[in-house]
Amino acid sequence: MNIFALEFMRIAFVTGGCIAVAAGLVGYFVVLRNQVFTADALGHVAFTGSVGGVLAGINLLLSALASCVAVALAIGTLGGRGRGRDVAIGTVFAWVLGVGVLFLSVYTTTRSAAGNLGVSVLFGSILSLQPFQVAGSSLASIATCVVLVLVARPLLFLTVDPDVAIARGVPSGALVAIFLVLVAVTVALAVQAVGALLIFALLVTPAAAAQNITSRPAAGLVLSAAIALGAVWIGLVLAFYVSWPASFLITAVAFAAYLASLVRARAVAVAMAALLVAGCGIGSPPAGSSGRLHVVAAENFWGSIAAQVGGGTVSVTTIINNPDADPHDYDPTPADARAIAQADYVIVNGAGYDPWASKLLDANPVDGRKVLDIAKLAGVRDGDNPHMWYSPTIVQRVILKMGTDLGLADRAQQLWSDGFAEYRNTIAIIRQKYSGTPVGATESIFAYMAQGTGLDLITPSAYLNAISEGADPSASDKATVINQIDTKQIRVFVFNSQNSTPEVQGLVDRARARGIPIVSVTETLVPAEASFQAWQTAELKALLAALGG
Amino acid sequence: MPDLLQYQFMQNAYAAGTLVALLAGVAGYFIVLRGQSFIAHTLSQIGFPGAAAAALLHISPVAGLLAFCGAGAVAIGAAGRDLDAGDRRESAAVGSILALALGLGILFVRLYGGSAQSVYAFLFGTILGITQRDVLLTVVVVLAGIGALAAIGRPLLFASVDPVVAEARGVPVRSLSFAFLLVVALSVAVTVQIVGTLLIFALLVAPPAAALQLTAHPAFGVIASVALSVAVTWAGLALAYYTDFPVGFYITTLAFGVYAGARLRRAL
Repeated sequence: MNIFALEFMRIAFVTGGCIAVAAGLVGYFVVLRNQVFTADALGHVAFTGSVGGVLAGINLLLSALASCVAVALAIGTLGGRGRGRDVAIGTVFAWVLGVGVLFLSVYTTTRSAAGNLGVSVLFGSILSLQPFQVAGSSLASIATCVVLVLVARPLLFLTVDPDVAIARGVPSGALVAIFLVLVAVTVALAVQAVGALLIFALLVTPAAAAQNITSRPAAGLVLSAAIALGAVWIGLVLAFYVSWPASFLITAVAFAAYLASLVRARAVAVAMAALLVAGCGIGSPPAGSSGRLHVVAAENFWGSIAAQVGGGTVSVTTIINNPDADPHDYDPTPADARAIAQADYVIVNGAGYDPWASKLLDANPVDGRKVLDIAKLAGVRDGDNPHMWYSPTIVQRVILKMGTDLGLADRAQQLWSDGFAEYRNTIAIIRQKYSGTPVGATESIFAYMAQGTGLDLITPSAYLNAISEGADPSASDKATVINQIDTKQIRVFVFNSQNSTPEVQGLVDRARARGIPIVSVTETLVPAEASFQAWQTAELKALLAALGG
Repeated sequence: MPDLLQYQFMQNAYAAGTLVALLAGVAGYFIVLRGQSFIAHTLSQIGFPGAAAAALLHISPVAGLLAFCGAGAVAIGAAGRDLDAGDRRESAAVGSILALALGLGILFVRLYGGSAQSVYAFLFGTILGITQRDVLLTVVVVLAGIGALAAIGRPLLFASVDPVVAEARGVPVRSLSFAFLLVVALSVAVTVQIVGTLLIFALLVAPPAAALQLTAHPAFGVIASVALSVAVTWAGLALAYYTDFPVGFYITTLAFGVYAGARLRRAL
């Protein structure tokens, strides 16, 4: 498959390219004017602005732009140079970042599976740009380039020799304000491509390399833009083949150019051009064609069920296989996007659990592809508990629905009545013997199973959600959980061993010390090659044993 | 005992938070005096790839943090060797190193197959999940850091305020600056996993900057800086306990408020 055959790669090349050129040009002046720290601060503002925008339900790009421009103008009024200015900026941006953490915390405790949002803002999401980001970013980048070229000459004069420039009537106040606005816009745009923390890779590193190579301003500006563009394009080509994060690869290419500029100036342009040509010329990875139906499941628990329903008539690819990976905040690779682009039948969990999967589906429209969104099937909305594979009733509906969709209704019926017999029996035994027994858990992952087995889960639900979403739980909920353990209000304590943070581990140790039986469950299949029902039955039996057998 | 300190995790948070605030108050005073806020920020963020690399290699996070922060201090020291602090080429070099370091961080997280949880834990700390072992480790590092700063404090102050005269008088300005960078790096390395890159930076810059607005006298300045950072930490923890919003938000907001207040007081 050709690298440009995928829509998301084309979008990334065009949008990323526009952003890179703008960042290279504006960055040249950022470095020349020694305002690197200002740019860094604005990157953090963009983080807070983006998260705040999502929280308020406004366009993420607009809110990032607005907050960056506002803070840039405020920095302009701080005035001064050097030490005092840096301290003022540092203090302001530590605070802005603190506000961003607050927004993120509010967001993750009120919406389900929002873990992805913060990480994609901090580290970029160039491979999953949304349609509204594409046109907006490209146009804003082009506008930024045009304005910068218009003011470049007086701005350069003002930067190199401010006193003479002001004496000659250059409007310094207006120019500085315009420039800060340009920096703000560029930062807000660059955050889309490489993320709030890595904007230097486009804004500072290419400009620094260009200034090492030439001291002529016009050549430096062009070179800076060229290096930034080269870093983005080469980074994207590499990301297509090696499935490392695109933002890291872009950063690494930019840094390599910087290192090369320190050693041998001219070699840089030649080497980058060669790399790009070589990258685009690499042969395309082969596409599989076996005549069987291609089924892609976002997570391996649903993939296991699909493989059993489909048998030999389907080939199932699951995107998340690694037991260490958390589906909540998985960052898809180009290989995943390829798999979804080529699939006949795609199974996603939905309910905000795997937003990346829906994005990949939208980014690669294919005629005749069927999609099973489990949350839609089960009537579970975004923000509700997304761990539906822990609900026996939903699992049954999914098996039957897959049978209908794949034209194998009989096989599906048989799987549920025979293959899942032990699973159903174990649930029935727990329900019969221990209905209403109070239990505790660390995560909402257990909530559906508690419902299915009739157990009474007394842990505060806000706490369960916070741990599930990777947010800090509130102190008062934490106090409640500790109290429930200390006073032995719970008969069994259930934790997710795939999310064993120090927080979780501390509670497990505490419960164990009080003699409360511990049951570990996992988010995804363990071992990774186990069947869905074998995995679930093993967990249910462990639960039964912990309750007293 | 007040309700606030009833639980072990709050006791640990107060102990570690106070220790970190002590060190940050002293080290931060010199950082602000030397105009190195940007370098302090960089060193605190370099901890992120360090912790991620440690997770990837299944070694102790402290080892990864020490290696990366130490290497970062050496690289920054080497990059800026022939340049004045705040020089534009130095800023550009530091910025480029920072971007690469953070890029490596996200790569390591990806290779590890880790989740946003781990990213947030490195970036924003988990002050409510501090164990007694962490507290002990913090005690050791804070004592060593404050000891080192006390030992080099007087010549470092001289070198910070007037490097040219200090050098003429035979003060080893360059070695001192390097030693100071290492102290900052090592303190950051050990405290980052507790309070996060965000928090350590807020404490390193805002209270000392406020102290410098209040008094020009070095001894009073250091004391004011320490007092403010401890007060901010205590109040932040208490507010977080009673209102359920993140500690990081409260500590950064209070730190900013203290700084803004000090500037305002001076302006009037």
